[in-house]
Amino acid sequence: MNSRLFFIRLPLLLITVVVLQHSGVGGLSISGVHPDIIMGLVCATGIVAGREKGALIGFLAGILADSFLVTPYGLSALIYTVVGYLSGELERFELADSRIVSFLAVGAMSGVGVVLFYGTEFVLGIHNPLSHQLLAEVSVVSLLNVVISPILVFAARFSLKPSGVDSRFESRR
Amino acid sequence: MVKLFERPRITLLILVLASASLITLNYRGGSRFSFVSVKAAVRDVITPVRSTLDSAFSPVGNVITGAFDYGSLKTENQKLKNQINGAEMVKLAAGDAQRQLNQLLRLDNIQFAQGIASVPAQVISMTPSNLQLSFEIDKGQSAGIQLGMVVVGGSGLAGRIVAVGSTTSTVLMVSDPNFAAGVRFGPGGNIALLNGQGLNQPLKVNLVDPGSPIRVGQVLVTSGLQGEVFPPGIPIARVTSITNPLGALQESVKAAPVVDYGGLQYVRVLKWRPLS
Repeated sequence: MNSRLFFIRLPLLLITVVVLQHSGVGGLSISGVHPDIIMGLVCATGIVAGREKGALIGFLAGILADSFLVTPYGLSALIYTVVGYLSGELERFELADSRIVSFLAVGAMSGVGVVLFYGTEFVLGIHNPLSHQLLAEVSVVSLLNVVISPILVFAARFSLKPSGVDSRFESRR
Repeated sequence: MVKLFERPRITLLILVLASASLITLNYRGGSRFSFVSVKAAVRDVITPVRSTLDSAFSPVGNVITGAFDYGSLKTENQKLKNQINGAEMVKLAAGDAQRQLNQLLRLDNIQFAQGIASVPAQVISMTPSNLQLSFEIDKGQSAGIQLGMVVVGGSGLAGRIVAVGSTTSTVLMVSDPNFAAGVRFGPGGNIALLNGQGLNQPLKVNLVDPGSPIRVGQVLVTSGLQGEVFPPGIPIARVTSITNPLGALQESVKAAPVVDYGGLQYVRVLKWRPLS
């Protein structure tokens, strides 16, 4: 029953976050920069559930997100996979044990994700990363994701709980 | 001892390879692997969910507002306030209707792209992502819209169609880094290349020879070259700055889109198919 719930909750969460990003929440902007709640969720998942699940959720979220963008299919999947994995690496420092630190880590890793996006787009010849816009985007996305991180961390814990991740996340890899 | 091939690392490797393969197929796979139909299918599936979520979240706000609306004195006070607000709303709605009418009239009287069949559409959402500058319109395949078609606003080129669903389409803005268009300027019809530079960045005009008859405020129009991606003569941008760095082989020209995306509500999709 629990595993069934896991397979329902996780896709529902992913679809909800992607849809929210591309409707209500995504429409908001500060200095033209939009919040990236998909990135926030991927970071939260990595921090809460470890590297492997972070990378997997990142890949799935990226594939969904790519369906709404004109950027090459697989680009968001690549970045979110790496961000999810790197966020999971932070569990070595047992960040999930402290709520405040895990919320701050979501923001910090979101900033890293934005830089990775810019870097990859530069390599693919889409974007020039050397602009003040990068700084604005990193700051705004990180800040907004810190603000909403309690919800994201809760959502990640809730959706992954039946997969063997208990309250202390003993099965983190 | 650190284990090099532990399971999370293998998973990461597999997922990164899968993503890289998808990106490679995008670039090298030609039209067979463009994923356009996959994207359109996902969007079509998610669009009803999106509408449902939108309508599901709006009552929450209404409930919160309604929870505070208690008490007879407050009710009477509220009634009076509502009457005043109603009168204000009528006034504002009339102003808004006039603005919408002006936009539609401007669309009907556009002087460029005459003779090309077009479909009017309404802008339903602006860029939801930091990765691309685009907006969504309320017409899709069912209205005859296809990939690559050109979208014009009241004052000029607004973008081109880059994704089509059955009832919605995505339009790439002129300022997106993926956007490029051949342009003409000056009395001799000199040719240059206009590129988007991203959010809050001016457009860049390339291939302008030093001494070309270009000046600040000049309007650049589509050239109609570049494999006929855009019909000729559509205003696209206005020159904002020109500098001539010493020893440079071309002038450094910046421009701004003629279309004000902030106020864009209605557009026309030209049923123009690029030849290439």
